Amino acid sequence: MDDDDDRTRRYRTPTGIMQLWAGWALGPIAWAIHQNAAFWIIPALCESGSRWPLWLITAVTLAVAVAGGAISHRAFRALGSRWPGDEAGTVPARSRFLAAAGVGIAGLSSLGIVVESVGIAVLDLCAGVP
Amino acid sequence: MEERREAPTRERRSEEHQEPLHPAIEDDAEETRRLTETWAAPTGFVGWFMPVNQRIIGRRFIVTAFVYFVLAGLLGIAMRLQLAAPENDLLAPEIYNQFFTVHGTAMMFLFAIPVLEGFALFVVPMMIGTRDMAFPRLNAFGYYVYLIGSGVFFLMLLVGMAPKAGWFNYVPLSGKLYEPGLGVDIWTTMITFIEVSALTAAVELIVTILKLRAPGMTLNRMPVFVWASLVMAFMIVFAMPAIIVASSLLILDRLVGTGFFVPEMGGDPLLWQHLFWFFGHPEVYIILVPALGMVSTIITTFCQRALFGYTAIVMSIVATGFVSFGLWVHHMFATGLPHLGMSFFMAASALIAIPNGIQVFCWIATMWGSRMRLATPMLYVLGFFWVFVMGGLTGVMVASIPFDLQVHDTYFLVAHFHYVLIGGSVMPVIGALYYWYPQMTGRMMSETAGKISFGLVFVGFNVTFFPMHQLGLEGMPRRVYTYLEETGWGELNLVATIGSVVLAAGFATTMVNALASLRWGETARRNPWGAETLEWATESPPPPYNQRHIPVVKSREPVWDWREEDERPVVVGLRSDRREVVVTSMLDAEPQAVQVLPGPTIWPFLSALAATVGFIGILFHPVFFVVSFFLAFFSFVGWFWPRRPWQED
Ligand code: HEM
Repeated sequence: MDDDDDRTRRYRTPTGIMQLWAGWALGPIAWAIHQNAAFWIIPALCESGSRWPLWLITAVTLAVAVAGGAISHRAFRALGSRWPGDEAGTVPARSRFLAAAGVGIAGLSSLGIVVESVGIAVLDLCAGVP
Repeated sequence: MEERREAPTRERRSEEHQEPLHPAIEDDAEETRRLTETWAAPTGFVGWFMPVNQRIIGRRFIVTAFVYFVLAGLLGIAMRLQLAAPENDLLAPEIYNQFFTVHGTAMMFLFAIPVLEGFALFVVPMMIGTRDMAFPRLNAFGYYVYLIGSGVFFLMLLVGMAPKAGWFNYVPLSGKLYEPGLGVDIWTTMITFIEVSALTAAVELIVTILKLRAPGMTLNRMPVFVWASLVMAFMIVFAMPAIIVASSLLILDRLVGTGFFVPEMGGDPLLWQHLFWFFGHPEVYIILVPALGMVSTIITTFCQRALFGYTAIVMSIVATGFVSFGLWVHHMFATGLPHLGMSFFMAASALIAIPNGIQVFCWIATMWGSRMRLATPMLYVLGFFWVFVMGGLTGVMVASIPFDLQVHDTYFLVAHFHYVLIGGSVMPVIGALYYWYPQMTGRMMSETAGKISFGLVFVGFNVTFFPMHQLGLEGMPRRVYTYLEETGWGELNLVATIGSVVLAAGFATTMVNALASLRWGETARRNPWGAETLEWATESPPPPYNQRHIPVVKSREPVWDWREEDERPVVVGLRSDRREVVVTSMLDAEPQAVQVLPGPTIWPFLSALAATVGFIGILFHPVFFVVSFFLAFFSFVGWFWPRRPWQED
């Protein structure tokens, strides 16, 4: 119970709340930046023939997405690593829910970045560039 | 796992049983009468233009959208009749082009989005236990804008001036050179107008859901339909501006002579495609996501058990929402973009199958071993499973660029998108109509007619659209008004046409059922389906104030809790002589304040008229912009005229 009181206090503060939303926000934002930046930069890269900016974008955005998931995961662990139900004690329950969903959302975003970057390794940089 | 919780009791309570309040709280008759008076909507002819209550506006959205569903459906049937035989001459090429453009536009913009918004406006406030939307007058404004915009758009068909450039209105086909008449001008202005209406609904939903939830309804206790409506609303806010910008640029190209989309003037036709599909793809998910919420709601009720994997389902809905913004380029695989760039969108298109798959598995787990009641809403949900999964499978196929290039612009695509649109959205919507009809009218729709309608729709749909996959693989292009006998496409087309008549008969059965049940339907008892969410915690139909007392929520299935505990916790202390609702905190729904909502007024209607003068007038002369500006200014002054708290308090 004391634990829950602590958690209630912690996840009512702006910092605590931001940790819960980390996966929700950082994952999708990183994924969107990866997709768009990589898409629009290709014609310029084709001229220079170098791929490393694409890898750089991938590495940075992947790091951001994973960091989002990791922050949510830490919160999830701090909340007792229990799968969220809708039990009483509203703040820890909703925090567990937000943290768990944050891990999932950031995980999917990271997966998106990884899957999208497969093409960078195998496809011709200039194919189809007008 | 803690997620799965059986409904506390399965026994049905006596017809009108309502769990008692705490003994210290009384339902004073005089207070109830005053509450009814305060929340009542005006009557009479002028009164029709004045109500702001969320259920009235929501119902109007739904009814109007279904009218367009019927009209656009008739155009679909007409096209099918034309294609039933090779070299048929039922519809002239010009008319066929107008028909597919108006059919597609009306189904997407005048039916699908508004009907789902309508359901959200109607159901969400009741589901979260409040009495109205956060901005009731804006709500009314949104409806009139939609009514006028859609009416003008459809009228163009009757006077033979409808646009012919398809529902995505590609340039240069939609430029002045190839579409000289007023058709495309009306398309662009009216679409913008209707999007304004969608934006108003979205803003309303976001604020209402985040700030007006019943005390205790923390984010993790919000019904899945409410989550879905919230995600839909955010998607509208992010997607609609793109189409509004695109339409405005096109109208500038057409009326003022700018060259945003004209290569000779430094413009780029692909800009239109990017802007359109940046809106257009999320649009498909804007109409899918709330339908997924409907599916979750119906499954919970008809299996009488808590949803399996609530957190996973919410996560999937949110993920579907954001991933849908990264798919737009898959509509442009055939336009000659860099291959590597397109591969990112191919990957994202395949990725979206993951959240959708998660939801399907959670639904199956919920249904597994339950004593499912096969009433009409549930049948439509089962139909959704088959049709939507089929559409999803062909979706993953066309997400693959090499395959897409083979079937691009063929009937394979027509089959695919009707599978996802009708399976993913129309079937759940019809199920939801049967489900929430008692809350709209106080009566039940006929179950027999419902089941017949489902049978006809399911068979008719598959007979119509399944053969189109094959037609597409054989090379039949979409948007052709006829084909030669030698192509050998005649037989499958005939089958498709026969199917479409059966399908139409199925939809017609539901429409007639809905109309006839208004009069002859069995009177609904309280919570007729034994559901767990708050929209059923009141009479059918609810009184103008929705709930006599704002409830207090302790779990995801409040109504089932009350059944178990035989007691209903509520909020007391709201005044009955003005429209008061409880404002709660965003995450934990802790009471923060009381908001006084405005009452009925004609100003939103007049503001919509003022905006119409500008939107339509500008096609004829720029001065109308100025006229409309001033008219809107005056109507807004009336709308926002301050209340006099010293007279009310
Ligand atoms: C009664 C059921 C329906 C029938 C018989 C039907 C039939 C058709 C036909 C024949 C076409 C034109 C194919 C072509 O020439 O390329 C078409 C196109 C289309 N339909 Fe349907 N349809 C039905 C329902 C729907 C629904 C419910 C929606 C959306 C919610 C929808 C959305 C569309 C769209 C977006 C197009 C593309 C229009 C274009 O090419 O610009 N349809 N439909």
